[in-house]
Amino acid sequence: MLSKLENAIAKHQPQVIAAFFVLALAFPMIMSGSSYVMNISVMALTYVILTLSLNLVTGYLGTTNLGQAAFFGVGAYTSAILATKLGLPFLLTLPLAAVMAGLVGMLLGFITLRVSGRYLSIVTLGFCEIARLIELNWYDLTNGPLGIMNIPAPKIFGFTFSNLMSKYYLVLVLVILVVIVVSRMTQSRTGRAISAIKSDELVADVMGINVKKTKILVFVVASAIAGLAGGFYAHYISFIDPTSFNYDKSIQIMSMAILGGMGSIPGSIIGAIILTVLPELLRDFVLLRQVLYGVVIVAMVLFRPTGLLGSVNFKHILQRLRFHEMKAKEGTAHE
Amino acid sequence: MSKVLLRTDNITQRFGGLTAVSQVSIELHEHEIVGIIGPNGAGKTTFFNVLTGIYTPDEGKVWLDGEDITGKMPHEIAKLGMTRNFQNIRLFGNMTILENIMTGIYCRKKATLLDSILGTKRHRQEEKETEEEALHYLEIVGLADYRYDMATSLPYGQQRKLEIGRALASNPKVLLLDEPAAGMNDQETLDLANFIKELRDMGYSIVLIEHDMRLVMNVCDRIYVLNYGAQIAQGTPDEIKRNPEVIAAYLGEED
Repeated sequence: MLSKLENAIAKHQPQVIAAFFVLALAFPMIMSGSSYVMNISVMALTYVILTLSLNLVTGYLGTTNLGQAAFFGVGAYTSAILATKLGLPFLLTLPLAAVMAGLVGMLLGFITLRVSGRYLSIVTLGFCEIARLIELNWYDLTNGPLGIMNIPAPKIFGFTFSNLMSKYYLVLVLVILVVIVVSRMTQSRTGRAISAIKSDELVADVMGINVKKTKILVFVVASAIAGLAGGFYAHYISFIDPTSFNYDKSIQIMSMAILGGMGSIPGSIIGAIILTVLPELLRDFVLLRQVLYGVVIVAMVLFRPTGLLGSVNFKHILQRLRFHEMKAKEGTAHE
Repeated sequence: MSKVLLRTDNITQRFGGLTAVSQVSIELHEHEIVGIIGPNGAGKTTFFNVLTGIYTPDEGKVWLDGEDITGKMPHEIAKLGMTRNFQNIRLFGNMTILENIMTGIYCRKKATLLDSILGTKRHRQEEKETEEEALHYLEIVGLADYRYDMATSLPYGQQRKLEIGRALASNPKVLLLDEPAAGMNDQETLDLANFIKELRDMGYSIVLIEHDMRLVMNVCDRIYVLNYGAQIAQGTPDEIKRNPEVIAAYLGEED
């Protein structure tokens, strides 16, 4: 039953993607621009970007990273500082946020080459904490616990993204961009190297893959993507402080990736949306929200360790279907 | 005599107080199959690990096609033209059979991540070539019909062939085979012997570690014998069969 659905989706991937695209485009109209819904939608899409970035390091490369929020924070602080102190335009602050986070990601990448497994997770955790402490204590630069206020709204070529609907479309464009980057990255020569490293580092090395270089590359790209999300977030929310980028946020992103499924792009999208929307629906039961993340992780580990879509590779399914069809045709041609 | 592709000069590898490989010198000529035999723990696999750069030897040098590769990283050695399979099969379980082979081709291609993200001509052309070449290697190992199945779904003997195919896909000057017949029945071993000979006829040069004496005697042009890490004999299969030291190492000495 489920496999039939998977086959149908695999066969009609362009149509399914187009349908979701149209839905995403029409969504603000459907919701007639309700600011509550639009705010949640913008946040959900921001989390989609973050989850995709974590998925690169954790899902595809297999490195459990508990510090992804740090890069979100580096991106947010970079664009906030550049915009408020230097008055740089959004078209510069956004890419610079990604570049800065990418550079910091390279640093973490080099550190993580020396450790593996749970030790590595602890290192990433500590890294997230260091980033938060710097944000909290480097008063001159970050304004400490007071945070940075009055970050201007995104503005491109004189057009200001002041209302929520325009911000929604802006982040949607970023999501599409990131999906394209991640999907091309994972389905390429480099992508095969990444999968090989996840499967067996030594064998990957023996087969001619520069493991260290590839790992650092993944860290840089993943961190840059998280930084991009941060850069957008700062301009969107207009106020940031260190509490937005702490360990809790990392865990939140991690639970989205686990729910959706490691190594699956549609999984990351679904996971991020569900875990942004669900807590809002449970707003009346504030305490339950805290429990929710824990329950999700425990339930997924118990019942579907690969996440909702982690074990579903639509590309492979389609390849198999096409191949069987081809074989069947050849069979009838011979008769 | 034809060109020497692989040469080792007095390779010694120690682990603490244990000398796993001691003063081993071998030569592999073009289009030759050379066997390395020896009782369990003789240091055969350690020797392969030295050759492929997993270990850097304490003493000695490794030359691949005239180039000193001692101390180079495994991925550098793969690029220079030497790849291997593993005694305990180590396929990429998260990939299809085709993708496993395509990963073997990785080191011969050049497309960067930026090429792939921007979808440049180089990326598109190389992806097409990689898939076509991978299919060619799948035909060689006879697994083309299963190309889209997951690698670990294959039966044991086929997994071994896929692993050899993955090593072949890097188009190595020297192919190292570490106990390819382990766990195979008589018929499978016979097929494998024919397959290895076919590989030589295709132009590959092979170093083979093997326990199955029939396979070794059947396919190898020359054989080196290791015992407790030391090289105790070398010669043609017939010479090795009659060598008293070899017989003693395998069967124990007469009093």
